[in-house]
Amino acid sequence: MTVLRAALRIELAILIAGCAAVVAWKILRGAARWARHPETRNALGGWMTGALRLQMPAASLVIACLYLARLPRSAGSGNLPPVPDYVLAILAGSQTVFLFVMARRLLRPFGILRNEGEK
Amino acid sequence: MDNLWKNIVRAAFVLVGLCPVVMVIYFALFRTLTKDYLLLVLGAELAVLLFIFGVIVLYAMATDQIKIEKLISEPSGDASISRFQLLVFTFTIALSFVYLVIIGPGKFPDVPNQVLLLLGISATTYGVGKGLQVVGGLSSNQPPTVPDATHAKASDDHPTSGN
Repeated sequence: MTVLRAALRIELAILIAGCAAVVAWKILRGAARWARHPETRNALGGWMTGALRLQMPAASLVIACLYLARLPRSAGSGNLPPVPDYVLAILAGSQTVFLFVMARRLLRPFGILRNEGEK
Repeated sequence: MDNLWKNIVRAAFVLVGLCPVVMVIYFALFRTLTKDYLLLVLGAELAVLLFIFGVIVLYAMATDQIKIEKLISEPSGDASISRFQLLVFTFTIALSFVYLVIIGPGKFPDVPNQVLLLLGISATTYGVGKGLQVVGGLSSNQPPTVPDATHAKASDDHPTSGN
């Protein structure tokens, strides 16, 4: 049984490493494509809209990296490390801002968030 | 080349299928067939099958039979920020889970409520973003448009992208 368990661990490690490499390669290739895509400029919009949209993936990446950095310390307990409430609040706020930017067009008929000079 | 690969997979499945039969016969004839041996055979079978399935999926992804390049893009090809953040959190939690199972004491890890909340916030943003697209009357399945001067000016109003 010990041999079997060791074999399973090695197998899982090979599969996960392979999967991570292929997925990262494919996704990065796709991301490079959309970064070159002319529509991406429109996706980000003006500098203000772009900043309000980009803060969300940036916050997500930072939180994910901090979470992963904390993981080895939790390995002993065998449980996933908890996420502090203030981090959840930051994340929720960041995502709300993103959704608010997305919903701008829906809010415009009510006179909210018009562009400069727009009637 | 494709046929060769298919034949290799078929041969592997046949071998995996025949293995337990051969081993059970061997243990029954030459050794005492105990529950432990049977469990060992079953475990080895499952491990090999899991590995073969994993390799097949990996091969299909590497050769573009399973296309994942647009995983964080809209069908039109532009960036999908909410898909990206959902992918980041899903991968983070999933990899943490696997890491704890492999490195940790070997028990199934407990998932704190905060982690579930984190995934919930992330998935809700994606869902609501999609909903906003539909309500806004602009489907993400629109074909890509060539940006011109007018379009660039109105770029701030482009709610389809970025979700």
